[in-house]
Amino acid sequence: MKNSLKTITVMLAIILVCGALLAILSDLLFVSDQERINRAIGKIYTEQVSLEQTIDINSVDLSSEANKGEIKACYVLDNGDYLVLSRGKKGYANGTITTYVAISSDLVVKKVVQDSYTGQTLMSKLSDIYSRYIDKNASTPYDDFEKVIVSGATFSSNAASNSVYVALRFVNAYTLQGGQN
Amino acid sequence: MINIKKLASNGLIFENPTLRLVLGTCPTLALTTSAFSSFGMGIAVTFVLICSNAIISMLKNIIPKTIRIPAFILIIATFVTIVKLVLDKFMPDLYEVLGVYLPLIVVNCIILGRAESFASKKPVLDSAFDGLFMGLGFTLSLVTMGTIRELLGNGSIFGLAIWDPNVFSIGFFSSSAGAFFTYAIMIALFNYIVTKVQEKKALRGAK
Repeated sequence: MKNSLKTITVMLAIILVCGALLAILSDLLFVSDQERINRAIGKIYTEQVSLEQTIDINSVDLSSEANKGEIKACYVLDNGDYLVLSRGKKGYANGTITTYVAISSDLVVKKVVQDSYTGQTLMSKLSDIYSRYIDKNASTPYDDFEKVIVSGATFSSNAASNSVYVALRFVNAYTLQGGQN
Repeated sequence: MINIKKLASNGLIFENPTLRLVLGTCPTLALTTSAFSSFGMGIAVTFVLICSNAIISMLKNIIPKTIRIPAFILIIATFVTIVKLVLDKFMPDLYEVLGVYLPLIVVNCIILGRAESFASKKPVLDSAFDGLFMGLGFTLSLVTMGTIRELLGNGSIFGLAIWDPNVFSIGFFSSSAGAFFTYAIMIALFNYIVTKVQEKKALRGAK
């Protein structure tokens, strides 16, 4: 009985101390959504740009492109650009590549920055692929995206292309329906 | 009294967790595609090892034997969560690179192994130093492996281009199979050298 009581007390004490410590630290080290977006903006723009509006991604039907990728978030910036966080599918080993795509108000790709990826092994080969999407626009056919390939990392290139392509399709569809949130 | 020299030689060479004990193979194989991610994982594991070893050693007489494993896991998980929070706040790039392998440090055999076999029996300072040297041994192994794989697979070290990967690179080293291959070669070489050194020492001792 005495041993059981000691066991429970010790375990409870450890849980309480660890829990209290983590509660304090998670409050101190909390990263807000705004901070995360600012980090992404900082990777893309050298000049000072801030977030103006968050677009409801469910307001646009992109089901026809669901096999190519999906939109994770979309923002309108104060310089008129759209910043789209999109995930391209069909990478190596069915993995994905997630990118931030900056698209100007006239629907031209300005810059693409890689955010994260899953299951890809040759990502360093893709370091210069993202510059090849610049100036692609809403009327660029999918075939042109398929041609952006890095030798030796074909599947990863495909996922990167899909990511940029669905971002453009999303913004295009959004503006066509009047840009209403 | 602490025998730092012995703790250091154990952690770095004779009981090197990666190359001698073959522990923590999951992050070793998965994160050594680049030297940067290898270094990040090594430092994270070293921090958790030092802190958890010290705390477990401090509480070794208080924690009942019957609940020692869940108690150790709780303590380790707390430090892993702290590392996760700090990296997310201050080093987001490294946080993204480590991905799912960061929370998986909780179940890293090296940490639980040292807690069970060393920290739960030895004084606090010894345990902290054991954690430091075991962590450094793990870090050095990972960074060496990461450097070899990054250099041969992508022609760079810590992201700095050494040569153009389009001119020369062996993609195999960036793949999972390349990780197993590099790991196997490193284990074989390391054990061969350590065994030879031990044999020479034994011979000298016999003479």
